[in-house]
Amino acid sequence: MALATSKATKPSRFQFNSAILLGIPYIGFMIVFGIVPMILAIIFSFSKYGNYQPEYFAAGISNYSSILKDPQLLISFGNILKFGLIMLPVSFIGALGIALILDLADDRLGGFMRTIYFVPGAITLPAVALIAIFMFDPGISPFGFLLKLTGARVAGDILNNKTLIYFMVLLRFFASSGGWIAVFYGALTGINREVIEAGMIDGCSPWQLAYYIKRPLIMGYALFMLINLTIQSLQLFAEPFILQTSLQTASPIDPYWSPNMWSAFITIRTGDFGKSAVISLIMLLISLVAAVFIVTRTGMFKTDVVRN
Amino acid sequence: MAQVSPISPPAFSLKRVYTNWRYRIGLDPVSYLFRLAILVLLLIYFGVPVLWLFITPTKAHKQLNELPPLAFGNLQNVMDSWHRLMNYNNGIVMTWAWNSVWYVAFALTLCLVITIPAGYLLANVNIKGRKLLLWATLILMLLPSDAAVLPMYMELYLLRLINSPWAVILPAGFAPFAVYLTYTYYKTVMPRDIVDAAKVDGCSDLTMFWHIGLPLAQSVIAMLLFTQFAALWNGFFAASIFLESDRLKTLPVGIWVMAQQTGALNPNPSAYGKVLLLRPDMATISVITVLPVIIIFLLSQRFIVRAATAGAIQGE
Repeated sequence: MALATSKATKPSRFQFNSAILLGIPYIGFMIVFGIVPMILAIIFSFSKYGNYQPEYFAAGISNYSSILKDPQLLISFGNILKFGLIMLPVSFIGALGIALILDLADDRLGGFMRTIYFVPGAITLPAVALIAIFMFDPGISPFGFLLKLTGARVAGDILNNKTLIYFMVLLRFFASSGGWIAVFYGALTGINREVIEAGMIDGCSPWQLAYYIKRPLIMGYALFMLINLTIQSLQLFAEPFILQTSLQTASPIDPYWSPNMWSAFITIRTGDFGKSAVISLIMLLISLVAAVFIVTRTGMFKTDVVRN
Repeated sequence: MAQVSPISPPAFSLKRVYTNWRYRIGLDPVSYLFRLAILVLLLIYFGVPVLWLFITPTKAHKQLNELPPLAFGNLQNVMDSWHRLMNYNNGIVMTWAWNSVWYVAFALTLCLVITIPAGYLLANVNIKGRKLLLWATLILMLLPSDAAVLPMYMELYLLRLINSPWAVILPAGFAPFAVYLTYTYYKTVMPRDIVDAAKVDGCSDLTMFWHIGLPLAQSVIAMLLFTQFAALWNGFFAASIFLESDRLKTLPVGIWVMAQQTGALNPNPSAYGKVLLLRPDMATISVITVLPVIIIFLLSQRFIVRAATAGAIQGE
């Protein structure tokens, strides 16, 4: 009897919860398209390729040593490092500053301008690259009068290897800052009015309110933006690739300008997936460190499993 | 009986108008003008290139140099440009447009069908491994998708999916950021008390999802539709690598193909012998590509910003 009671009350270790069916497709897709590519990249990075056919684990660490010794590594990662070093402060100060200026006054003009600044974010990157080619041509650009002041006559006079990074910053800021401005603006309008009024009673001017009260209150978003931009900078591809391939012989850009371009260049030209896998793994490793930092340290993605 | 005289309106006073305006706007005139000047400069930076893109199809190739950059040409030039685009490669532009539409439609449907139940599961069902799944979602959503395109190419190559529309449709089923958005949404709209009360009443998790979770999903579906549409429509790197045949490509990749094949962007098009397309035609195809997204962007600005600030929509 005692035995029977004990058997009846003992919970089964493997209780099937049918709700798992809700997550099975997601788990399946996560494994196939999220995790397997990374595992394959690791396997391929140790594999040897001849005529697009792999010899698994035949390369040892030769792909790694080859990529790490390749001067293109410093060029492509150096380019995005330089790009990131300029892009991050420009985007941060620019988007935050514009949002604060929009929020200085409570009028319809601010909402209208914010919408206009938002529109370039909808433009597909190949079209952004196309716009860039036209905008940097002194003959047809609406900003041609400014470009001509530098003595330039054709796009190639302006868009060259030395100036490319600065123009890429202009281009990316044009295409991506509208979204960040809208995010900061949304965060600013969510600030408790009592805090603002307390500042006004203490004699703050609108500019002092913006700098000393509003700016610190939205710094959480700013940190998220900085980390996000770092990851975005790392995978730069569409604009330099299109500028490079569309202008063809007139292009000022190397085919291995960014890590993604270099990786695609190796794959397309030589079919050597092993080396391109190493480049992808370097990018993924850097992003993984940034992702773990964001999730565990910034408090941007609080869930019931991550609290800060 | 004494007649009550109506209260006369206050006399017009510039000072009162100024005081009212100052109170409403919250800025002194000098600061306001300074702000206005900065906003107008930014308007030129952000607005003029877009305006130029929309005006350019109205010009003939020669007029690009002859007319002022923002001058309007005429509608006949738009028609001419349209005909050249339609004649290019046996009207392949329409194939690209149709590809973009149906790839995005299938990819969006797949994304929603997978994302909504997964987000609900993570938010409301306490199953073994849920924490691990949530962690994996958080980490994977922050990895740059383009960095994994070439490893993905290798996988699709092994699965014999390269050069098939499914190569760009199927990966859309894995959208960790969309799952995270759905998770935060369900955490907000379905408090723990409701879930527990339904369970006490004998509701299983699946029944609860069907009868409560799914009807509540309308808002998050709208948010996901708007945000994912722009990302899928504008996708370039994966589509340019996975789709090798010209007839399978999408509009954004088509822009690049046209630029490459015709030399239309080269300052000296005659260097390419037979010139198929000209610079205004590239502007026309760009307008065709970006117009649907711009319209959706303007309609859904609120949702996109809410998605971008998802960190502020905290979980439990």
